[in-house]
Amino acid sequence: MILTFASIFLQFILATLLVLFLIVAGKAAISIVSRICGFAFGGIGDVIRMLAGAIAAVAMVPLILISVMFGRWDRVDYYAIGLRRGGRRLGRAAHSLCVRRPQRLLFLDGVQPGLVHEVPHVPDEGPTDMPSSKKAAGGTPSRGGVSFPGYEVVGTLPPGGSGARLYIASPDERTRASLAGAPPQVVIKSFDLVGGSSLPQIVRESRSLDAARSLGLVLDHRLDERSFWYAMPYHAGDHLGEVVRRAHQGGVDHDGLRGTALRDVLGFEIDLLETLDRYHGQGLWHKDVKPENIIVHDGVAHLVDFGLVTSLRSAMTLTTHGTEYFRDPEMVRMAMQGVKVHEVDGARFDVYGAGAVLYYMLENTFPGHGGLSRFGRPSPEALRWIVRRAMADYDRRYTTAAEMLGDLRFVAAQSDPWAVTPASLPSVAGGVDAESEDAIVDSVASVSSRTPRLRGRRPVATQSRPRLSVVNWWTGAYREDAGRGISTDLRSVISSAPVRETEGPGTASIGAGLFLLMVFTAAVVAFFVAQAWRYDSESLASVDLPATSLTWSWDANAWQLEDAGIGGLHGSTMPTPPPPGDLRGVISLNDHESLDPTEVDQFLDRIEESVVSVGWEPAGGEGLLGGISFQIEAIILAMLYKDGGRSGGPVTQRMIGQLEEKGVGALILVEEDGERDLSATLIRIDGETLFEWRQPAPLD
Amino acid sequence: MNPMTTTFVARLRDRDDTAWFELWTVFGPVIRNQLFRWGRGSVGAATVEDLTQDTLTALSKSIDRFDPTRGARFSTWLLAIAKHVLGDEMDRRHAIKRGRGRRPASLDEAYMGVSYGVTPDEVYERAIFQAKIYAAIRAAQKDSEFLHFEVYRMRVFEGRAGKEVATQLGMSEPTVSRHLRRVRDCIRSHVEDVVTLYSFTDEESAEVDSAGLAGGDDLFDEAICDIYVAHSRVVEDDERRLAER
Repeated sequence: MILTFASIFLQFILATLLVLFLIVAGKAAISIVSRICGFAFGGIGDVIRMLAGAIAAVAMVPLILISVMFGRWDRVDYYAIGLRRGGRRLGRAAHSLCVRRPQRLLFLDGVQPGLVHEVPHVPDEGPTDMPSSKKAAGGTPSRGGVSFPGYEVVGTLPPGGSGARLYIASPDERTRASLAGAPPQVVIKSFDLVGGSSLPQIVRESRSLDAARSLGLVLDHRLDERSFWYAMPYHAGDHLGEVVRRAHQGGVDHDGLRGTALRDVLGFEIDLLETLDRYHGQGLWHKDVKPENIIVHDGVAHLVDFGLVTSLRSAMTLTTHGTEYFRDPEMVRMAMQGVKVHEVDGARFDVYGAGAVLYYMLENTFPGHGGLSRFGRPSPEALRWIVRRAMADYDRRYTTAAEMLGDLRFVAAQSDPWAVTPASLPSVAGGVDAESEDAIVDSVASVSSRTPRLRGRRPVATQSRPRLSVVNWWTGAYREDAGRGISTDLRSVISSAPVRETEGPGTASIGAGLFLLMVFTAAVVAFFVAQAWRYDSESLASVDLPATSLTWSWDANAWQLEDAGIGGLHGSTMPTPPPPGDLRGVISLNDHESLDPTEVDQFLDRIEESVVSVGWEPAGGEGLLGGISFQIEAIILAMLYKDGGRSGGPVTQRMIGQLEEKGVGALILVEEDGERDLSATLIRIDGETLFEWRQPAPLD
Repeated sequence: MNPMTTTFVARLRDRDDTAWFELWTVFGPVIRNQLFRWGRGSVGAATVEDLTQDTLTALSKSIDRFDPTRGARFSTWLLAIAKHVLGDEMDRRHAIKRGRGRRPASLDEAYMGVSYGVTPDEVYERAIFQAKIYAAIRAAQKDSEFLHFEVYRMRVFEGRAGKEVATQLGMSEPTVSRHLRRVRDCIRSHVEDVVTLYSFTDEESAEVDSAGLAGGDDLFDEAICDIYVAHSRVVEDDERRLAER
């Protein structure tokens, strides 16, 4: 009985093992067949990809040589990128065919990661679009289809008025080590021509990049032919408006700020002024000081948003950018009169903003009357004085942020700010001696629990504003007289990119003397050929572009207001653009379908006068806005409409290529920015910005 | 019309930006406030802002045909056009409700005559006058030394005693009085200029006397303070509405 039972049990075990063996053997067989098939079919695919990559790369070589011969350097860049992509495709396919697939066939998949790690990392040049399910460059997951080499995108922030996208990102270890302060997280501001950003926006944001890097405001940046991004320190916290609202909610209604809350506010204002003082010392002007641009993190106020930062010595015309109530009305008047930035002291406009911010903190509302704004809540008389002095008329306010900072530090140093009289403030009493100054700093450092960062810190010496000489009025490049050059030239920005160098396309990698000689000969030939082709008798109206109709939907109010001449068109002097050099032909493009045609016409009329006066020839020879080029405007609008409203879209690019063939050397691109300001940029066909006009928005 | 006003109107006709900006800054809040009152809650802040722009647009078109010899008041000129713009907006809304299109109404320029039917109410007239005086205060602030104007602000607008002001600002009481007088004279001068500038008729120019601004120093300061506070409230309400938009 027992033997029978054991026999049955044994048979059961054997049967089970047999079934398991069959399952495993079947799986193994399937796996082997799968791998053999994968190797065969995948190999065929790899071979096809290799061939495609090789053909693409080989096809680009003669195109590059032809472009070099004709001196078409922009095309050389373009074809060089194609060559590089073809080569990459070829290399990847070859690697797959020769390494990855045999490994997989021989069950050596585990070796793959190790080998991959040995392959040198070639960073991409800009944000990479890819499906969100895939991994970003460097193995970091992307978010929203965007990745930045060396960074992992972990979140987004609401976009500002510039149209750029803001991401919170964590740098990988290598990148982090290369950044000043090794921050765990950064904010990346990204512009993408394909994603809707415009070239003038990118140019504007990149102008003061070098100086911003020296201030530690920008940690990293990257610029290529279609995108631009830069990384800034990330401060996780609420903006000042939110902090102030909570502070006022904490006390008795309409009783103002007292005790620690008042001390905190003083500390925030001191932080703000210290930052502004550093900006001004570096020759920069923040231009958008307001509570929303001040982030309070760990009890310290950080001024953020680099978008409107302008060189104090800029040759550009003042614009009305900024935020109402925190922007000096006098600046608006000056902008309407066409005053240049270097003709005024932009630092004083920041001082006005700082005064408005202090008013906001004390009153929990914005200063609607400018310097005449009333105080409705109790606050120390000395602080009211400081606010009014900062918001006084342009010629009568604090001349520097440091002067205002001195008064604030003095108030913060007193045990009872309410007892301080305006008469005792350093700016009124004639300053304080060095000993008292030390005492002030020590007192400020110890007066509040929120100010440990100030403990032991000496007052920041006010840096004398560097004397700058503009060395190139076209590009805005300038240098300090002391010899330390600060270049805002876009090209220098590109060349000063951080450690991860980008591959130089086209001629950059060509060093052989013989080839340079050939290039020189080709350039001479191209020059004469271009001279012969310059005057194309073909009408621009015959450019092969798709005909379409466009529905214009204008804002009636804005139209009428502009028609009335309130928008600031009249009275200001139009700046003089650079002469055409070897370009001559220019055409104007209207890049925004929402612009008022009357306004644009008037704006372009004046631009026409200024460009013609220095020797530019309107393309087509019939006037910049009349006849042909006006049709071109309409076509461009239609093109942009079809192209998803993107000035960098493929249709527009193709159109620009056609214009180039017609002998148009430069474009005047008219755009509207976030505040309805009109701007026009003179851009070479190859993308280099030559000049910029600006038209303030109507006052509404 | 006096030469100053003629010059100002000429600047408006020449589309001088700063002249329009001035007009916008000084009278924009009053026009918006008036449109709010007329709208009686049926017109939102955003629409009022648009209508105010339309009013200035209509003003700019009307200024070329403005005939000063027909005796219209400055305030009536502003009001008539604001009313025209609001009426036009209401017509448009009603036309939309009826599902029909609407042709824009032409501006009835009968307001240039003395007998035109638009009768500005007392609140509106007062607001326009206060806006003029407020503009004079602003101009005086711009022309005065910062310290001097602060003395006037503390003494008159905040009602502090001369001794307290002297202590706060570290000066003697006679100095306070001296600064006070200097700023007062400056304001008087600007009041005269501004009222002349924005008045089309002698009747408007005479409003200064009835507001107590032609009296002695104390009376003048009191009147200025009242106007400053009253117009500040108008502007603050206006700004609040715009901010909440």
